[in-house]
Amino acid sequence: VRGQLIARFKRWVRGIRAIIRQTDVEGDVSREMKTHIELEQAALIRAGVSADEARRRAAVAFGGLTRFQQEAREQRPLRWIDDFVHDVRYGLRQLRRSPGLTTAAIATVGLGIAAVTTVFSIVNTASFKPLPYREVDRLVAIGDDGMPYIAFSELSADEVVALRRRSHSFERLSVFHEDRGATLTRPGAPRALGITAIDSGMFALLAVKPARGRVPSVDEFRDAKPVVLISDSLWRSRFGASESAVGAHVTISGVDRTIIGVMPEGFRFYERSDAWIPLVEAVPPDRSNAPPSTREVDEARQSVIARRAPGVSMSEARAEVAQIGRTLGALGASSRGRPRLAVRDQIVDRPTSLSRLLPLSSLFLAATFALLVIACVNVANLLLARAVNRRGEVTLRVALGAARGRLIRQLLTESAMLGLAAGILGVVLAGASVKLLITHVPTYGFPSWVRFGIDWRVLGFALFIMLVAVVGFGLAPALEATRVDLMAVVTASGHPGITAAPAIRSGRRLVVVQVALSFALFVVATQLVQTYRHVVGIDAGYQSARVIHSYAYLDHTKYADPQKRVDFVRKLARELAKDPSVEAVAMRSWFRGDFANPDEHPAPSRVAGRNRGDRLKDRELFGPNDTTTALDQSFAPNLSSHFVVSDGYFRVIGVPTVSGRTFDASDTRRSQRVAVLSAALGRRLWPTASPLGKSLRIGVDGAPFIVIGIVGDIRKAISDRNGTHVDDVAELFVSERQASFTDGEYLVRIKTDAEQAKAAIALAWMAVDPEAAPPPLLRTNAEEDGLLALGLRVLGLALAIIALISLVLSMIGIYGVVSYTAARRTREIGIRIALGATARDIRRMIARDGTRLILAGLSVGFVVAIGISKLMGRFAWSVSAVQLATYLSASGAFCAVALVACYLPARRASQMRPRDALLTDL
Amino acid sequence: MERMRARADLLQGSLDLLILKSLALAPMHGWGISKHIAQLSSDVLQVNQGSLYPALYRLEDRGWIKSGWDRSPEGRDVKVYQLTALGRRQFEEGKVQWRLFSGAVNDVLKAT
Repeated sequence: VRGQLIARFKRWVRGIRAIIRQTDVEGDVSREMKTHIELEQAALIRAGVSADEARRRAAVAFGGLTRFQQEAREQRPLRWIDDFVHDVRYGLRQLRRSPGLTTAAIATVGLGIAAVTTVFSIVNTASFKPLPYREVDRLVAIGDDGMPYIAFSELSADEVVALRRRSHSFERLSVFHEDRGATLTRPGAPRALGITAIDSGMFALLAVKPARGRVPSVDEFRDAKPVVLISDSLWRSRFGASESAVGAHVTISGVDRTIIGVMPEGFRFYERSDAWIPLVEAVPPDRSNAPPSTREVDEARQSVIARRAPGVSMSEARAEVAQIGRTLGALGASSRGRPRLAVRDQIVDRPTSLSRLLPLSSLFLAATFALLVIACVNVANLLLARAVNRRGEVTLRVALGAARGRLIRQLLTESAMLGLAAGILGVVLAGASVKLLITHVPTYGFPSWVRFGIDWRVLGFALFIMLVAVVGFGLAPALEATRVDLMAVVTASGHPGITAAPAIRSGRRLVVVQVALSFALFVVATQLVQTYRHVVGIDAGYQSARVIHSYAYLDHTKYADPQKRVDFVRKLARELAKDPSVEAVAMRSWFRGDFANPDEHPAPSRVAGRNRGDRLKDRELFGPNDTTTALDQSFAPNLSSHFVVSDGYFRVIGVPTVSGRTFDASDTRRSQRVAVLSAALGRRLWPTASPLGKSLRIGVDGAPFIVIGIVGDIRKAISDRNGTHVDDVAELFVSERQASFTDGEYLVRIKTDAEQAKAAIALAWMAVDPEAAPPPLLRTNAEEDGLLALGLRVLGLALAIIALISLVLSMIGIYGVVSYTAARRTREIGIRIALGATARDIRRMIARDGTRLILAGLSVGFVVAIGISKLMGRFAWSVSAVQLATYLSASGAFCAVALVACYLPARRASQMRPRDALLTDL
Repeated sequence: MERMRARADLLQGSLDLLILKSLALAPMHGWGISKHIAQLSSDVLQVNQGSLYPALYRLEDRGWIKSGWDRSPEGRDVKVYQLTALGRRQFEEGKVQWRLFSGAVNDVLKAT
């Protein structure tokens, strides 16, 4: 046994040495065999045979030297590595021999791989990127079952206490409270800040610790001392990455705090936070001796994150938490009535901004994959053509005894080298284009942990794609090249590989695939671009470029009272009125049905079972006065908005008054309640009569509103399950003189220069509250709309580029195959011309050939495109229907370009002189 | 008849044994091995070069024989093979097996 082990080891050593000294060994074998023949020859001469005869006999006795060499080689150690090295050398030689083809193939496939990899790396980041915490799959969020779309919903103190006491599924459980509306006022200029209050277990739960400084002590947590940990980015931007930051003082939302630590780079918990403070944990209200009806509402809300204990499955944790929720409800021990607790393994909200960056990512992946296929087809065609030209060589080698499998492997190795080069090029290009994409697409609102780039997953994917490509463009030519019928070659009187027909056939089949795919891409891209044009080209019904519409994002602590926010905006409006770049300012707020002084409007009748305090839900509870029930549901989706507005609102936004009047000083809290409708809403509610003077009941609040005016419509692009379409927006307005604002929403009509007005708003802002963080990025409504359509634009544009590239590639494919066919038929053409065929006949013959390919491709492409459109119809960004015009124009354009690709080789063929044609040796 | 006998195919595995046997006597080059086998078998066993060299490489690969370039008495560069210790053991084992095998075949053929 030991001897065998040693032998095996020696064998490896020999094998590796043989590979290193490749040429030596090659020479060794042939030298040895030559010696054999020489020895034989010498023996024959000794036996009295003439020298020439001896050489002949010795050679005959030995047989095919090449075959023996190969067979001998096959016995050598680690033959596959040996073969592989041999194939690589051979392949490199072949590739170097035709640099043009090699470059074209690498560039084409490299582009294809780059496209697929770019899209995949974005999809990868958006959907697979793990959070930067240790054993992140054990982290769970515990929230309200009723809010499935967000990771963390907030729980009451009762629920938190119950979870802490009764759950056993979790190793650790922590609570936090995120506030995205804090303000940092010192040091430096005020800025908005997200802060998260955390409990003492949080750092251990997430397994993170500060990069500098320390975590709060037990005392600091217990007494909620004014200490703070700051993020790496805040540390760099505000403190210049200074070591003295730890120990410095900051003022956050009016509280002076001491910085005790800086968190490591990239740490963001929860998503938008830049500072962490000790949490004052809410205590459940004591309700032991209070009657249930007077129970104090516990408004303290905290989010819960936990780490599952090892060995506890997700479903076990779910079951336990659900049981705790049920028990709480049954005991009546929760302020939320019947809490339904749920465990979620997703601890971030999947950001919608990512889907905005890349809507229809699967479509995109498919499109780029189609591009890659098209590119591979071109390369396959190139290689096929070369395979036919190589027939001579291959035939010779088969005749000398080379095995077909071995030859195929060799040709595939050559393709693999092409593929590898293309893959490297592709990954490099993909890295560059991802960077380019990120700098050109706004990433505002992306969670901090999203970092785009090429990671191992992307590399693995690229490798996979590369292999697919290699087999895609390499296999058919390799099979074709090695399909050698020795008998046929012998009988074809010295024309090795005269039968190019199968190669041409597979080349043509590939071109049909190419045309089909690129046509489908072309149609889909056209449809998307049309949709985009449709969306951005709409007449909004008002001058949206002259209106800035924003919201007073103010400190949550200082402006906790909504009335304060409204006061802020009033003051802002007064300041802005002085500025020359501003024409007018108005305020607007969602109408929530809670009136300033409802007692002044005693409701004539109350809907049973509902109290006045109920808030109006969006799209609910509307109805003309003469019907007592709410309008049917089919109406609801078209009612986009119902607003409380200030007097100047309609002038600011610039919609005309169609009939009646808008709000003015005559409308007071004591006068008749009045409403203004958009024309679309008026038409909908009273299709036959004028809405003016009609009365309308809004919500459960009873008292009717009289319609006093109709204003012009605003048009918007609406994306729903019927596709993207443009529609008038149904809107209803009431006056702030009769219902109060609840939000700090304001609109500014600007005179000319938007940028100047934006600066003026920032200035006025500071004048009203020097401590307030400056307003967020301001945009005119037109800019806002453009941003909303951005996804569509990016998608349409990128798809258009992909479609264009694929179109060019397939044209090259058609051109190549038609030229090649024509070249193969040179002799035939010569005979035809000699027999009297005109140049036109020849042109027509060759062009007809190409046209057949195109038509076959188009008919397949039609079906594919219709299929894709149908699929796209399921997404939000979709085109309305199968647009026949698009199909017809696309196929027309396609035919035109394709015919040019056919015409060129056809013309060349027709200009041939018959004598030359007949002499051509093919 | 003579030619038929001369062309008698070597049974699978027997070539290896013949090579080992040849080399057990003295180190030899490839041509020498083939001549040696032909002589000892009175030209009945003609070793095809197409079988000989692959077999040599295979045996070398297994570590039963080793090779090296040497100069022949005629002043020719030749590749000389010689048995290794492992090869010698394999040869002894192979001999026993061959005798068992050929005896068994003979017994079967003798049966009437």
